[in-house]
Amino acid sequence: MTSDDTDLSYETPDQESVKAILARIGDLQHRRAFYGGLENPNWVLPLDKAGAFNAVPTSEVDEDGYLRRSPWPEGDYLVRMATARPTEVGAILARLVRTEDPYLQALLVNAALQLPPAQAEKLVEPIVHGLEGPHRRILDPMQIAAVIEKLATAGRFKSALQVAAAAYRPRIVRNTPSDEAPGRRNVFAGLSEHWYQETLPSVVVALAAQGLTWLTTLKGWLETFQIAAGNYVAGSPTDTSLIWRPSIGPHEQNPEYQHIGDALVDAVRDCATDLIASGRATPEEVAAILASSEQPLLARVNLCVLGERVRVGDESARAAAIPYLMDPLLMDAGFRYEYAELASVLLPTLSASEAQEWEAMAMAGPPFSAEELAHRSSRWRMEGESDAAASTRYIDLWQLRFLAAIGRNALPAASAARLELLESELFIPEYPRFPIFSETGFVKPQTPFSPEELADKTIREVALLIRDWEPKRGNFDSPSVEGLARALQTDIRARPGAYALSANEFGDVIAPYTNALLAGLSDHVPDMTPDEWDPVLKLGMRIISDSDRPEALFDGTGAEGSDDSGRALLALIQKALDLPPTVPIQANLLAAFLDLLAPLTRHPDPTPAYEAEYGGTNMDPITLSLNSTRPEAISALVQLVARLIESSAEGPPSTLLSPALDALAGRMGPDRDPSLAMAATYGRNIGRLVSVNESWVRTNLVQLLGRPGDAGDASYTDVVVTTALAAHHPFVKLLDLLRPYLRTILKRAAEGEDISVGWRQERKAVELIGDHVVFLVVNGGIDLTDATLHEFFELGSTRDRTSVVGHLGWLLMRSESVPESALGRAKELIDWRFEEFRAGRTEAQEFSQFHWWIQAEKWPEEWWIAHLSEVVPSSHLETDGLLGEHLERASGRFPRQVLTIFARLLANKTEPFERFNLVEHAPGILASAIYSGDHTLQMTARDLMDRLGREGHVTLKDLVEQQNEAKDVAGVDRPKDEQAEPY
Amino acid sequence: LGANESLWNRRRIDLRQALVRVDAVMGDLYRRAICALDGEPCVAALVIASHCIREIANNLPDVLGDVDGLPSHEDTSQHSQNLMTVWRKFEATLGSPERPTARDSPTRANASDRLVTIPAELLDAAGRVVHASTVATANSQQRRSALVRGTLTDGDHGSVRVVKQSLTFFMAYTHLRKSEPIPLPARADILLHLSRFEDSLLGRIGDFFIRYDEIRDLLGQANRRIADPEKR
Repeated sequence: MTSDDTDLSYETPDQESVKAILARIGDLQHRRAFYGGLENPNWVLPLDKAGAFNAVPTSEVDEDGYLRRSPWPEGDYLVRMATARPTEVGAILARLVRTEDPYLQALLVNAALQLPPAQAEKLVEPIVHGLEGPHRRILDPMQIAAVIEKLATAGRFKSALQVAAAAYRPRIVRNTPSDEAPGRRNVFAGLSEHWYQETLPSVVVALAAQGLTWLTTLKGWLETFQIAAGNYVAGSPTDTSLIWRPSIGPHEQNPEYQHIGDALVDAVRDCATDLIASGRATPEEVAAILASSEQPLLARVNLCVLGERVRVGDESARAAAIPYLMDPLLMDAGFRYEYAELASVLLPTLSASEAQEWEAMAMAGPPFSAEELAHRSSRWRMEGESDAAASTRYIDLWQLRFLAAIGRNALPAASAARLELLESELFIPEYPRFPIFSETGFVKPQTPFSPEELADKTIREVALLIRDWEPKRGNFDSPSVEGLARALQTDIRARPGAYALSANEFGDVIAPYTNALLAGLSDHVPDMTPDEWDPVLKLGMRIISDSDRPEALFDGTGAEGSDDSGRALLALIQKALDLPPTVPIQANLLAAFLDLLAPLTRHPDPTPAYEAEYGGTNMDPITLSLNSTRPEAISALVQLVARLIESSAEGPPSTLLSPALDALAGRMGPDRDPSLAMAATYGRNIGRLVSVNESWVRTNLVQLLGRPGDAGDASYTDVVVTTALAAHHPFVKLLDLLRPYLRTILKRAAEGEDISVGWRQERKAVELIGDHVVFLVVNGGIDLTDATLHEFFELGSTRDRTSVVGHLGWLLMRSESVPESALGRAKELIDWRFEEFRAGRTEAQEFSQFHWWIQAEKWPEEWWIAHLSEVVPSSHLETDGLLGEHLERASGRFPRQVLTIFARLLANKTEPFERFNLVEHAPGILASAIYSGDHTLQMTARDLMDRLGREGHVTLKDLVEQQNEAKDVAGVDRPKDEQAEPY
Repeated sequence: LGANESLWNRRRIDLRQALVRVDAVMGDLYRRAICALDGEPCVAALVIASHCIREIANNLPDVLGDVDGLPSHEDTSQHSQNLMTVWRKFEATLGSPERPTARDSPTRANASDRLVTIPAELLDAAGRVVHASTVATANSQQRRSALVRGTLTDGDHGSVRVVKQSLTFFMAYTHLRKSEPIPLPARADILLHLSRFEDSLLGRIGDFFIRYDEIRDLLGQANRRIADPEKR
């Protein structure tokens, strides 16, 4: 069918019919419906004549920097008709040749695939323009490659090359555009790296008919890439290709991280090979092009291609390859893999004279000048070695690697003998073809003795064995202390009692083995007898005496190495103190624990220097406290104190309790120990202390936290208080204890001061306070008159109040069995906040996350609908979660209120992700209103439905009707049809 | 539509209701336009209907208020008035506007017949008129685009062109032509242009889903295949 014919099977519209349609489809969605369903190609010309393809919309960048696409359904119709009406469609689309719009450019790419080559060629300019523009990623890379192939197949090589250049020519990022990663020297092309690599091979084949021109182009792109990526500096004899592309052919040594570079190497190699194999070019012609490059990488490609052709028996390639085999410069390590591959197939075919000539060069050593050789060998000269000896050794090593890379079987006799001699005198190179060889893998620590071997020995023999064994210097996978310690720990777990009784045997072994012993005994703690504890605690005392340092060592110079042992000992004691009260611990054992713990509370770990380095941005105080000796000793002491008080009906023995409390107080407060990790430790243990001995805590509170409001170490106080709030379930005693400090924190935060937190989680200091008090309201611990509750809502920022109200709703939503009384108090809390809102004392924003309260499904619909109606005019209300579902459910009983809320929410939310859940439930909500029998409500719902339809929700009417049918089934009463009154 | 058949059908009732929902006056203008045409055609009725249609077309984009940056009507009369005043000021030199002396003046005999000398003030006033007219044309195009498509940038689109043609048809009948008689167009022509204008408004402010279904029905016709090749 020619473009002038009408389609035989379709009617052709008259111009009046076209105009009649155009008058009806001003609305975008109506146009979408019409053009989306129009299959008749005979409409193309009449529509164009009527101006239907004029005023093409363009995408715009919005205020947030996002490119907003304007649909063009007419364009999609044109693309669909391109095959049937190529001339007309081609002419219409050619009018867009100057378009800057990336979506239109993408449409033109699609059209070019449908149009005959002659028309497609007219669209090359905008396609090229798109590939060079900032939004090139919008173009479909597979379609781009297909367009190139289409043009090339049709013999329109100039156009095909134009598009190919736009898509694949490497460029350097000069002013980092938004779609390129900053910070490193980037090379980019029209296509992204992934698609570049994916599509270039087919394009290489498609343009193969261009012969040497195409090869020259690809070679130029590879050279450009090397320069742009910083892999080659003009004029240099070397490049970095050996690192990023160790082998030109496929090889597991190729790391393949330079996607564009790798794709281009493959392209040049495959194009060159194909040219020779297909007879489109001679090996000499191909080699001449590749060898004309200054870049070593291209010379390697040349060697690779020639080697491959010689390997398959190409005689002309053999002749072409000999000059390169005889080029001494190519014998250098930079060309080693490809040269050796070529040499291994070519050398056995050489004539005697050729072989002799080659051997003369090989025996002459590296292809450097005397000065260069002296320079290079001097870098490897050993102590006491003369220049001449160093030079000779350098030549020997060079020859060894060079000849070994080719392989003895391929070498002429004299050089094979030379290789044999060098290997016997020096060594046998492992990977001679790769000057740089990389290996990766995971190696776990190796042990010189397996756990089974240790199990065959007595404990004393084991202790002697580990004391005497020393690791030898070797590879990374040689047996190590760590490996032996792991084997030891396995053996200890198998026979803990025996090891515990012989713990004294491990008094003078190095720390990794002591740690292994203590860790290995951990599982045995519940069953440990006093006889077994005794040697272990004595070992502990030895560890303490090694690691105990005078106070002066708190300056960060504390000895390293014994910290792990101290913590291993603490872990063992804590495990014992954690045993249930039904497992009694003898007083003398508790006393021994105290003897060990007291000095550990003065342990240097964490040193100020360590805390400054690791306690900053990468580890919060509570995490550091859990991984440091001194804080963990304090925690263990708290456990000990609690155990002493809780396990004795008559009261704890003062001989133990007093020194234990003294030790606790000894590190308390910033003046005694300013470590924030210690502050976090007191914070996370304060609840336990308050529970067992509130009066002692109150007595020492000022020591710990200073006087409320006093200028002191605010960070220390903040960390204690916030850790206490974060680490404990809310309870009134804790609130009462900390009240004055909470007030100070709230005031400081309100004045814009940063509050330190001990546990850096999602909740900030003020949020923690808010969470604590609102939770206490709900569980009945405090009531709505509580002073701290009011202080939080008066002083907390809008963000903090929003977060706390939302968080409480979220918590209640997730809680399965909340008592009715608690739900009632939660409701009263929210009612109070809404009263405050109505009185103008808080903003609607405080209820932005009210949807959690709705999703909790724990209060009646009328309650939350009434509150939601109050704040829905605020644009801040979040629509996350399942709000739409709940509105839809409530719309049956409250169609008017729900429709009003729904309309408001839709008006406030413009982003699709914000509206998705709402729109999903629109049919049910609209159906409830439309079939409510309320005329005004029906009109409002229809207007809203209309609006949503115009936004593209074109199936909404059908969905609403389905909902209506469902209501019919359910027997819902129906209103009478509306009576139309036109006049 | 037969000559005696009422113009008020379901579609027009829908359109009137849609216009009333937007603005009562718009709805009333439309009602009066249809009532004027709903009977034996006469010039007076056409003048009334044309006025009403013009007012709807000119004001609906403002009433809807759903197009950001909608330009106002550019009033060129003030600039024209000013040009007239300036001409009068230099009339002694320039001659009457009907027959300016500058063109035939003997003192200009040797000058190029394409170039004349005029007062700078007059050039400035004339420039303002041209500029105002250019802006007015552009604004009109944008406002028509807003009326038909709800955007500013589609003034040359086929949908806007069609409506512009129909509006142009009615604009020719908004005023009497002094003593010159006005030939009454065929009723079919009047109704054709009326229905295009109405279809456009229904698409813009009518029930979206009814129009959507209509378009789907029309697609059936648009995609119709020829049963008998002889008909070609």
